[in-house]
Amino acid sequence: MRRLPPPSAATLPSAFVSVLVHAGAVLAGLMVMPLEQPKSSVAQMIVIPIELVTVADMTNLTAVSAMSEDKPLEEEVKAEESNPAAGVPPPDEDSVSFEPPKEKPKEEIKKPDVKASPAPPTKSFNSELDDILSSVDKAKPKQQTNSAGVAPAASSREAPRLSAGDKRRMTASVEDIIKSQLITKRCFADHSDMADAKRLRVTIRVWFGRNGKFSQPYQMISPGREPFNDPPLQAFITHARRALDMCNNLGWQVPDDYFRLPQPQYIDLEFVPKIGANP
Amino acid sequence: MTKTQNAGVVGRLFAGRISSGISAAVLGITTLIGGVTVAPPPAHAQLRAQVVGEQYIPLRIAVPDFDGTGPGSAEIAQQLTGVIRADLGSSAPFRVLDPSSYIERDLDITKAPLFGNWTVSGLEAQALVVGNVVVDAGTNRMTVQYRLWDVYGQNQQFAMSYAVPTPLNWRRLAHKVSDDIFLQLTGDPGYFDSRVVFVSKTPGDEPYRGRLAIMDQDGANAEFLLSGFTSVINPRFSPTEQVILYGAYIPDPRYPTATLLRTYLYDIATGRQEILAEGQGQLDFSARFSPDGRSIVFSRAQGGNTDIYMIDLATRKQTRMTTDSAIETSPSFSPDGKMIVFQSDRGSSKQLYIMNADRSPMVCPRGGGTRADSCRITFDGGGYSFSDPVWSPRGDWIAFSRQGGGQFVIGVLQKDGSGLRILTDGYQDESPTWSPNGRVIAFERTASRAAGPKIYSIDLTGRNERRLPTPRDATNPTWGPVLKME
Repeated sequence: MRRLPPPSAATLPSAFVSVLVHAGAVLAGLMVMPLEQPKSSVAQMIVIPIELVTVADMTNLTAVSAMSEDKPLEEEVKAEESNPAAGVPPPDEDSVSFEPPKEKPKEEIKKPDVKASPAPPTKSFNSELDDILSSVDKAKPKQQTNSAGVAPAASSREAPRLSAGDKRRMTASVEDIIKSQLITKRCFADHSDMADAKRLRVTIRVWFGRNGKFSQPYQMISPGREPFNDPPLQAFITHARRALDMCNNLGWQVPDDYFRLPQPQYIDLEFVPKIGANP
Repeated sequence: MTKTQNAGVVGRLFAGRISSGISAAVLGITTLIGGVTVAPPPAHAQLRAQVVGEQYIPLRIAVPDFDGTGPGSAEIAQQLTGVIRADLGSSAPFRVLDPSSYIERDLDITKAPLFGNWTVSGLEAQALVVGNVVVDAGTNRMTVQYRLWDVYGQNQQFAMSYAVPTPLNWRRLAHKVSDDIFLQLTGDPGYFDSRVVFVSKTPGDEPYRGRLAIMDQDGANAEFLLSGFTSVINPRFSPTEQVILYGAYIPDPRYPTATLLRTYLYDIATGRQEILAEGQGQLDFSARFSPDGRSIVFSRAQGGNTDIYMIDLATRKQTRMTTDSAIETSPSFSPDGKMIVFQSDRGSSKQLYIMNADRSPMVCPRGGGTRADSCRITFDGGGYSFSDPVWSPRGDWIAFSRQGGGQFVIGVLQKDGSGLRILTDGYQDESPTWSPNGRVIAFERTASRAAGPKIYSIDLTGRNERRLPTPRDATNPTWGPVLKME
């Protein structure tokens, strides 16, 4: 056990001073406190008006296109369906006659592979595969979509605004806006029905002027040479060229951003059928 | 630091590892000057976009009346133009524009059209065909020439001239022009100058009575092929020649009340025919040509079993292709001749199978690497059965008839069984046959229990379903190859 040392004579003055200081502080506090006015913390804040804004998942930009010039797709499809081929039809059934049969049947004949007679059609025929068909073949012309995967503006003026580019991005790039016009103005169609369509792709380089037209003739980048022995690819190249010519005839809407880039600035457009597109 | 040393520093900055002060300075200055004179243009942003066609839009084509020069040429020109319009208009890739909407008329084949007249709003023709018909008053020789214009590109895409000894051939020439245009605009060969053989039925007749008949693919020029037989089945066109196979029931000389099924090989052009097979203790049926037309695959029912056989037409050597105890029928070659698709009930219901034509084992597409003599490619989910498989001349699809849910429908799928699509929605659609370019399927449709069978066609995409006019009821269509020009 260690004992504390007794207070020495040197500590007595400092203890006295300490007592005085603390007592003074307490007295000063008692005197000042009643005079101090309470201050509102609210009055000290800068009030900022707040408006609740719902932020969409993606930025919607109005697609640049000649939307108003196009007919609604529903009408287009109906018009095409109700417009049979013009011209001279093949001979009418009544106008063609066969010679009468010269022989009469002699015996009953049996067919080796007799098929079952089908039951009358039922309205509930709604298999999974037929659902696929109806969505693929029947409904598709009426639910056409653009590259962004949404219905083109031409078919739904009252629909929400369309995206011109990748919906995951917050902005539409220059090339997206150009691409969008090729689709929404119906300059470039799907050619997945062509023979060996998965391999078909054509890249063409284009330059734009401020007048909404090509500033110089477009240039084939790929394939490098005209494929004379490849009719499907040749036809596909013609489709791509025709698409550019058509849209050029209608006029391009080129965003100003394009002209802020070092000029002359080109865009390489790779045309592909839907069946061969990158996922 | 001296000036030389300074230059050396600059030189090293541009020239890398050169350490000599003087040479570095020289090089540095040279590099600076060179940099000024040969510097590449400002770096461009790499702007690229993939343009994916989203909508199926038929190509808008204008076909004004061809001009006519010479006796009777005006009428021929009008009829010929009408057939071209009908051909293209019957095909899914095209939309023929109404002639009454054309602004520019009396087009001269020797001059370029005024393209602006064809791109006006509402017309917007993408392709334009301008042609004329010339009939020589002295020789009666007829010439048909035309130009195919790319309207928006403002250039000629194609031009051709045909000459024939007599104007009587105008209809075939019209089909030839249509075939040319189809090839130029789609990349696929045309199919308009081809014919369809079918079995003509008289309403009310017995189910298996019918006569062999032929018509143009658009229904024109229908006529009977044979007068002797009233009960023919399964005619099949050669893919290369105007030759067909067919089966005919004939009285059995041994048993007066019985019939025999004979398989005939018939040359339409010459009328010559020969017996290929006759059922003596066996029944041969469902015969079909190989792609080169030199051999035939068929089904043979013998001893209670039905298998697939192949016969070489030159040597008449027969090869048994399947040995399964189930019923295997309706074989059809792939266009490269390496594979055969057929139907079999070995899995209890009729399903489609593929095999190598040389009978070597193959890796089954849905067998997890299993090797087998043949592989099943359809599965009867929903209780469907499949029959009548026919391989497309293009090789990409196999057409079939599917039975189930109270219907027979026509569909297509790929050789690995993927991509199955049902194209029709009829009561009883069966017997599909491909156009020679693999673009269109003709088939037999019985619209209801009370209706007689008719022939219809539909585009591969499932669009443009239309009836092919036949004088009477018709079954078992088989589409022949494109006719050759003599």
